[in-house]
Amino acid sequence: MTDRERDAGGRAMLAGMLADSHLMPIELLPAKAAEHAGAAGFTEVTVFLADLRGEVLYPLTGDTLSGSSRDDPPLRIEGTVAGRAFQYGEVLAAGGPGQWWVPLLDGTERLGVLRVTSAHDDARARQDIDSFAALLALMIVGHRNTSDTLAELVRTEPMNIAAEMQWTIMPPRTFADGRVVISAVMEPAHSISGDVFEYAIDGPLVHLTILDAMGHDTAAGLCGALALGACRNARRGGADLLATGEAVEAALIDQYRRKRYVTGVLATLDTRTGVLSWVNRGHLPPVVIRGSRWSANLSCRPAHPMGTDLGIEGTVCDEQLQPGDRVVLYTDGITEARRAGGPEFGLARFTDFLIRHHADGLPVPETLRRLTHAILDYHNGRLQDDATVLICEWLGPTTGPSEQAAALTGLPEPEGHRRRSSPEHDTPEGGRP
Amino acid sequence: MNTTLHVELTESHDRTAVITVAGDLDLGTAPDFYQQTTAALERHPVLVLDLARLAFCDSSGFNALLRLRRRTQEAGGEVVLAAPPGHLLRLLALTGAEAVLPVHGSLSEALASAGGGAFDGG
Repeated sequence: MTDRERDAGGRAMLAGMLADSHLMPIELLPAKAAEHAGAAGFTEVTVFLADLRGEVLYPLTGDTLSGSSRDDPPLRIEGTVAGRAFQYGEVLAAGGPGQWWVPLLDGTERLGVLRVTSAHDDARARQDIDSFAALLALMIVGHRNTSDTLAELVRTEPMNIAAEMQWTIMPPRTFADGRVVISAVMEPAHSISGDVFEYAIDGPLVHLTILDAMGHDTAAGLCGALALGACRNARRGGADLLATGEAVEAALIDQYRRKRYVTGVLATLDTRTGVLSWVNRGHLPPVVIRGSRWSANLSCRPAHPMGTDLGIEGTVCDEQLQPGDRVVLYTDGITEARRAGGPEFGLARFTDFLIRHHADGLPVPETLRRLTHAILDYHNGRLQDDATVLICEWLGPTTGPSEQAAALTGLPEPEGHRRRSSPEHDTPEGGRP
Repeated sequence: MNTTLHVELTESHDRTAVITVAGDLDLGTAPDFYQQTTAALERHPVLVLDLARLAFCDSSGFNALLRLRRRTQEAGGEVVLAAPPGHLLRLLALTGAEAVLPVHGSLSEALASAGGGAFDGG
């Protein structure tokens, strides 16, 4: 087959998939992907999606015409090659000849992996499958708001009502551009109560918010959702940090008559200057981590928790960040014991964990995935309170894509580039095709 | 998860009552705490809470304290905290509530200041 023929095949694969996408339920995606990939010489394409907690990769099946994925068992993310492709964002050789594991990312949000079998084993095939993976990721995410199939596939246990609500109103867990890398986690993912994380890009500004509604029940979830709605509504109406906090307070008092409150940190990072401004509404202070050893609490005189109407005036505090600084917002479920005398992960252990994995060059989403597992292990697999972390690393003022942002989020390296040395290449089948 | 909280009116004089709170003040016990303390308000608008034996206080318990503060204000009185444990002190500092809830290291100090010294000579 000539180069020209292969170029045409690659284009036909993408064009065919796009043409079919207009009238395609997610259940048809596996079969359509397999069908169109054939034009570019791929004899198999199977989609695996990671569960909400980042433990298992589940095959996306549906009314498959190809049948290729019907009998695939779920794969653990720990200890499998597929899982390593997911964790590190690397294309890795799978078991069979010409078979690869390819990370599946929407932007920088990790969805899962593709298993592909290719008739060709060269750079052109790598480029084709990178493009195809990006296209499939976009399509899968496009179905997220309308597909119960997807929603059910990625949960490993029944959800409570608050979790059902919160996961649909919060932004994706990872975002990056040339200026910032943002990543968040929340546990227990299937039974949230009052925690909410929020971020938004607003021209040169990045808004970062963490909220913790009192209580551990559905009402806490409702209260958190209301606070997020009020926060967004005020912010998008042009309110500054103090006014946004006041708007959340007013909405809570209006609904709950001071019977419920929400603590939180409302922050805005100006990516042009690296100045972080924030208001603390009765919450744990943000932490800044610089380099691989230094961290500090950002202290700022708190105003009262939103909804309590205690009349304590808020203060906007500013901190000049350096490029590479990480701002960490978190809730007390991360560091503190819920019961007197209970096990306490603690702030020092928390920041040490983040610093150590950063120094190892691990992508930020992967660090947070491991953090939640470490905290769960510490609490014998059962958290008594919501535990949420939102990290934002400021890279610099330039919007354009950067290798640094790509490395920090675990984007696969483009064909022909070698960005960084890969950690843990300790299994024989883990080579790059 | 069953938790226990003991709420007892242990002293009273005129406008002031001392309420001893012992155990866990949390989602399960906060409603009873709020009900019992606000009941005392009818006769004693100044409440001194003896918290020396408070083992634990979560966000629901903390909110009950804030609501009680509001009710006492409406009744023309106040809530005074005596000997709160360390974790409650941290919560008061974190939330800024230390600015609006008087805190004393011991019951006797709290009584000396509560309600303008209502217990003086009593």
